[in-house]
Amino acid sequence: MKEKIIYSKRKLRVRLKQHWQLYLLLAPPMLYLLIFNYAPLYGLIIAFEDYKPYLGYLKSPFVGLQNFARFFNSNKFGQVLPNTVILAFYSLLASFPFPIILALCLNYIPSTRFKKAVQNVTYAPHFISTVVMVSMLNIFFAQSTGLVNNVRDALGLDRLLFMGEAGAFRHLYVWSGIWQMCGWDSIIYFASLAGVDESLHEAAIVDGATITQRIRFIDLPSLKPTIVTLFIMNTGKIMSIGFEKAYLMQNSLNLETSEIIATYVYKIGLLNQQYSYSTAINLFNSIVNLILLLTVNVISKKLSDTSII
Amino acid sequence: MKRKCKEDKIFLICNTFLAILFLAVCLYPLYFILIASFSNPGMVSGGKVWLYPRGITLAGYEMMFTKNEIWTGYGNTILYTLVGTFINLTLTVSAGYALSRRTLPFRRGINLYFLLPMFINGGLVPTYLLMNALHLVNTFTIIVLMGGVNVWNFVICRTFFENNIPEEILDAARIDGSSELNFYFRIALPLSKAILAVMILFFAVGHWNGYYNAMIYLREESRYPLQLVLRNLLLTTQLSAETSDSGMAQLLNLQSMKYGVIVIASAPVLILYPFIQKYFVKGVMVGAIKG
Amino acid sequence: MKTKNTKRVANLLAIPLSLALMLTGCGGEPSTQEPGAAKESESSSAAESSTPSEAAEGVVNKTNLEGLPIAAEPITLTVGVSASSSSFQGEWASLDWIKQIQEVSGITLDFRVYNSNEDKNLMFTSRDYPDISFNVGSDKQILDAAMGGDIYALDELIDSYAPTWKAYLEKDDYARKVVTMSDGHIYSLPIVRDEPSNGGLRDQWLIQKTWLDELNLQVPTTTDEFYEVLKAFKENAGTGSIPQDVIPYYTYGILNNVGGALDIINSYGVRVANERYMVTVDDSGKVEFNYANEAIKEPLAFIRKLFEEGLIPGECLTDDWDTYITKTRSTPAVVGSYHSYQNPDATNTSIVAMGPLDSGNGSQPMIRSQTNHVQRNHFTIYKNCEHPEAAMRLAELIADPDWSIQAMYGMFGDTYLTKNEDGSVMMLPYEADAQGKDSAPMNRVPFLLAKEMFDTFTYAEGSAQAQRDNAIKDQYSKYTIPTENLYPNVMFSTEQVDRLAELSTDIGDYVLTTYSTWMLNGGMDAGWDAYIEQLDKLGLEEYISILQEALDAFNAN
Repeated sequence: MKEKIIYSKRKLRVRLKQHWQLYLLLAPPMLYLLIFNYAPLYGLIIAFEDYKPYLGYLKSPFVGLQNFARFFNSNKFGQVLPNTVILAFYSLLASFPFPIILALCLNYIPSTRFKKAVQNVTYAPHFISTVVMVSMLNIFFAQSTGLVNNVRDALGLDRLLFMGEAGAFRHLYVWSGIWQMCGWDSIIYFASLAGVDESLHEAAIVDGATITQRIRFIDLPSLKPTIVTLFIMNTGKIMSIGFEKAYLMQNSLNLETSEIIATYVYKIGLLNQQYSYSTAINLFNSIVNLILLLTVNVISKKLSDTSII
Repeated sequence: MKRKCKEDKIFLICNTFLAILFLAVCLYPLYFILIASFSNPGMVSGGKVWLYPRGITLAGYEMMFTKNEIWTGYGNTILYTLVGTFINLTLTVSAGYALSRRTLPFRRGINLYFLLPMFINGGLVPTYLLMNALHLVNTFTIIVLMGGVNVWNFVICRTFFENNIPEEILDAARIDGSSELNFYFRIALPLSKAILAVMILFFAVGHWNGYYNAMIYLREESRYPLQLVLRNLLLTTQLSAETSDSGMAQLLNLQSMKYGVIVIASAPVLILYPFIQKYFVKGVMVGAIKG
Repeated sequence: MKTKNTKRVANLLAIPLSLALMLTGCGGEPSTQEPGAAKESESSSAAESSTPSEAAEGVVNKTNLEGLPIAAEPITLTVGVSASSSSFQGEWASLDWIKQIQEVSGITLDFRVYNSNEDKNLMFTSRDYPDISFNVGSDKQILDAAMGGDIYALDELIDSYAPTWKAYLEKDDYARKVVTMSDGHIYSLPIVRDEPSNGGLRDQWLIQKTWLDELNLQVPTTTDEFYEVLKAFKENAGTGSIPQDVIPYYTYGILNNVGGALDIINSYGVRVANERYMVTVDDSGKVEFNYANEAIKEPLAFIRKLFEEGLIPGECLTDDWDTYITKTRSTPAVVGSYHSYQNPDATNTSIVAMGPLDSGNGSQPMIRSQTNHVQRNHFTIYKNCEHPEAAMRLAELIADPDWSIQAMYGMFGDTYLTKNEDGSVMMLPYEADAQGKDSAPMNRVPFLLAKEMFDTFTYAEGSAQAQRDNAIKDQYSKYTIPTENLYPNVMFSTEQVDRLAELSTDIGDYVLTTYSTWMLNGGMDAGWDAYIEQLDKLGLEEYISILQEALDAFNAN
């Protein structure tokens, strides 16, 4: 702590000189971002234009906020915005704890072989493509022949048309996502747990701590920075929840909940070459994301002294 | 002491039970994919295949093995994955490390510079125009370069370095007269094998599963990565069903390929995992510090 | 020690650094040239350079004016093509048809394959065009490119180099209207497949004859009989060849043009189709939207009855296309009756085609046909093409009946087609084990199969297309909705396209959701007025007026 103060009091020039090699490390990635991410930013201007390819970026008519206004006034805005937010938050909150639980659970499995087997199997679903994932949902939850309904039938319950139930869409979407991503997402926690200083555990065992106590006082605190960081970053992509899975799961009966911003933009903007309109909606999403992230970041900084900015 | 043992025992039993639950929940659908890939597609979608394959057929696999583009795709993907992962790793990890150093002047500003691209991008068109001007469209280079700096993984790396490289080691090194780069390559990286393993896995799998950049930037079919080949293979457009006999019959064959494709495409990455796994073993860190 | 380390570090650093240098090096190149301007000058210089070579008799711009090969000197054309249904055909460059046409024409085709809407959009927004494109580009994109001066108006080129296309477009008024843009020019050639066995009907209505025979039932001819038959299928589940888990009647959604239940509605004399924009055209040329017509309530009530009694499963409303294919084609059969382009039993014995049903309400039953025989935007020449003459002559070559039919069905003597000595062509039955041998690009190249072509074309008995052909002639032709009553492939202005995008999504989704809910849970009579009211709110009137306006312009063209 003391040292830090000394550093900041030193002259900037000295500090720069001291760290020049770090800047050397930073130069290639910064240059990369400049070319691949910052240079194309001028393209955002078309969100405020009625963009025509043959007029180009500079000559297309400027329309101000008209594209945004059109989105806010569209018949579906009142439906797709809440649908997106609810689906994304539900997804984030429900799926967040599972990878952590899985990692901690496996951390205390005595048999290495069993542990590795579980890791391997839980990681595999990540490789199932969305198309096949949705086909499997269709088969497992089919009304007359699906496994789930067969079980319900055996228990004397009604067979339900899950895939056509607006109320079931979010649960199916979120829980199939958890199933698919839980093992994959836990990898980062496995790695963090591997970094926990073993001597802390040894000392705790000598002091007579139970496993639950060790999880609470050693493992979780050392996972905390990773947990908080990932949570903050996940909040920052709430609005960009993917289009493909929702689109594939969509049908006439569940549209009420399955129509989200991404699917709507696809249908109106992308399939009909409405470049300006799609860009405007995406810009809107980005801004909401940024605001959400900054908010969560500030809160987190206050509560846990961890922040990503 | 006795109370503790009992409590731990209960915990371990519950814990094992939980692990078995995780295992079962993930294992069954995987098993389903495997048996479905050998079954009559009508029976699969008719809900008759649950425990063992029915109407056993190898049609899907036969069809895949006759497709040369699948094997070219395999080769391409391996190449893209190897080179792409190397580039990702070089760019992202070094940025993560440099910005984890609290004493770096302008750290916050540079940090922001790295984070912003996560939210704002100019969109596909200007990026494409730029790539076209750089003569990168339809080249090997663009596939391995795209997404070179991954902001998400950059933040993960940074967090890891911030929390796992003790300042004391750095101070000790500085007293020894070690330069910044020397410290990075000789001490920080070897101490971070776990995160490097994770990054390799994340990047490699990203390249392995990626088709989007190839779809946007590659125009030549012989350069396509596996996932794009498979994606095109499975696109069952209604149009083709409306045009001819063969269209209809082939559509049915495609259905038997659907699950086999998953098996073929993910087997190599599933084999990769155990090699990564060994870096998650406890004590890597401690050993490194002592050594 | 220290120097050694530094050296090592320097080596490691060299990689990202050289990468960075490479990038900046490229970045330094001029990248902001005005695409239109550059192309203009290129094409004019190409025209100039062609003047000297005209010295050779009958050669313009390296292109022979007559005969084959087309190219007098080596010509390479980059061709934008779509990969959308390449699943069964393999790579473009490896197709037999493509190889042979390159050999015959002397033109090397260098394919640029587009896989999705995203990269097709990019081709037009970035104005990074190939020389020619086959099936890439929507109306809006072609229109925009034309306004930017990026593509050739083809009129003159057709006049000079494509007599077959010229004759066809002069003779077939519908085709001419389809390809002519609002400014009176032609910017793209169409794909034409005026095969009577294709366009004369949308879906056959199929039923399991084996099951009917086992139950001693006749093929139903009225809606009541159809209902009784379905009930009998359900009641006899598990007896004979009817499986335990029988699906008496299966449709791919209600309102899908392919595989949906629209022909039940048509059986009641309420004209509905969903090929484009959910509308049909009445005899006086007015656009009609029958999904908001009171008369549709009667057939809907019938369909609802089928759902209520479990004769159509609820899954029909949620299943995807793949499931529709696998369920209807399942062996042994589980579905009693369904709608499909093709009868899987080409002999028409175990599964037979049945006609539209008499509803008993006094109206003549109808069944849908389709107007997909001419589709524009299948051949475009971009301004950066240095050999537009050669490109147009290539289109003319493809329009040759032999090349066209082989593009669709594969090479003569290869899989399906044989050419007889008298010049007639016969199509052979499809054999499942012929998979992978397919050599044809199918409907992705701008072929011209005019109606006359099929006068000398026969289907071998036992081929599925023969069965379809017979079914149309014997059973369906007197019931099919005339093409004049289907909404044609009209051209919209950019403004109309933009407005329609939203209106058709809003209205289409609303109709679908409402109908599906009614079918599954009932409530049509109570909900009808609210439904009509909501449609008005969503802009049904504006929607129809746009469609009417575009239709009138199309007819006046």
